[in-house]
Amino acid sequence: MVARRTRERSIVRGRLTRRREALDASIVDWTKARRAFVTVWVLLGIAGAMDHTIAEKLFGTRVDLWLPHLQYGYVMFNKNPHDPTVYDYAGADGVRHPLAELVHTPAIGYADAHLAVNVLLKADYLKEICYRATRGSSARYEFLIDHYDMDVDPRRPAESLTMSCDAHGLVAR
Amino acid sequence: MRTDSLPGRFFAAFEGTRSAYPIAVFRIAFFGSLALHFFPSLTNLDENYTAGALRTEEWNHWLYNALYHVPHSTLWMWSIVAMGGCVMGIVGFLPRVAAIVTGVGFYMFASFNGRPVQTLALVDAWAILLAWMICGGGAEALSVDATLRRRRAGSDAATEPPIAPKLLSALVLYQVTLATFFAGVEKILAGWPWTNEMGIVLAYPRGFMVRDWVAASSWLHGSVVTHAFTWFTLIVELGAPVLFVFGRPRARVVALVAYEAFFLGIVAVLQVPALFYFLFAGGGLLVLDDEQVEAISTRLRGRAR
Repeated sequence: MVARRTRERSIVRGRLTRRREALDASIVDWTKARRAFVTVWVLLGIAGAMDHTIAEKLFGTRVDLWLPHLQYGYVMFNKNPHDPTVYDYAGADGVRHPLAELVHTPAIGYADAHLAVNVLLKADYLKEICYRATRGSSARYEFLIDHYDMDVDPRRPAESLTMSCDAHGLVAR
Repeated sequence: MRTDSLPGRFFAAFEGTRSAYPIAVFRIAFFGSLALHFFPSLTNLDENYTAGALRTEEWNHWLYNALYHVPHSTLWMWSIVAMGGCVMGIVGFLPRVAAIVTGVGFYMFASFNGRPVQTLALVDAWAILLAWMICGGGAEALSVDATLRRRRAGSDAATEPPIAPKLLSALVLYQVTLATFFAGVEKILAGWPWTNEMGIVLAYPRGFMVRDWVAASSWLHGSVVTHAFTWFTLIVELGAPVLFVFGRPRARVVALVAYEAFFLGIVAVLQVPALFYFLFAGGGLLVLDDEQVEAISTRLRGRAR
């Protein structure tokens, strides 16, 4: 009884598989479909890359290609900034530390660069760091901000600024 | 279509099978570095993904606005699911599902707030995750899936060297090659050959983009060294991708050595995220053909003995 059922089942399964294969063969040519996909993918990639390089240079504008990986170009700084800013802080002991040490969310291996770019994108980020570092505590910090002019002297800051940070906020001194 | 015609040769790179080890190594490096990049902010939702957090809009505008109103507990749940997907990718368990969960989850959080995870390497990460969602695979070796399959198949399959479809490997290699080449094109258009841009980068003070040892090394600031680095950058970014695609096997290996040295140099000199390094350095390894992979694994096995 069990053997007969198993045999019947395998016959039905075989028929279904053959039907599915026939259907696949008639509707979808997988090699052609794969090649069409590869062609579209490759061309879209090139279009996206050119959109952020040659198109912008030639036409002064870009086309929105909608997909996330075609939204930006591949280089952060084509022209490197000549006016970098370095952010440090001093606590009660007066010793200078990188300001990135006060950020709770670690950026493993690139903490200083991450902080510098975040301030570049959003100047309020310094206030945010101060707020989160002093929230619910009596801690006080001095934020030490050094602007450099690479064309004048890359070793010495052209301008320095000190800001006081405590639970009341961040204030320039 | 004949395989020796130009289109035939082009499509041959995306069809058939190859050794499963390179894509498996890349899978571990890629999902592992995604974990290093996203987990710190996803385990710290209060600071990064709440209504009161300081946010930047870098990816999807609709998600940037819509997620603002999602309850905190829901975001917590989504973050755990997204991290789970990433871990599935690392260990090689249902890789297509892992790519879908990781890709959708991480894209959603990056859209909600770009600030904690901003890096241009994400452009390539989205491309690779999307390709992975479509193609699946990548877990034919060094994975939970492979272990389970071997157990099911018994002792016969254990001796067979694992193979994987070429499609995903080729698409990943295409993405890193494209990004590297066009990074070089962008630098040419920005006038790098006529300026000494690496002279500016390597002269940055401690705490801005460069690692501390670079800021302290005087030998790295000389004009000859910085000019050499500028030209090395352009030659590798423009030359390695061309050799990867059109070069003979030996030329491809030479290009790969220069390419890997270049990215190792970048991560040693500049403060870049681990995701950037592992995505590009790991992706480059996919240029190795089966014979080269076999030669390397034989040498490694010999050393292990």
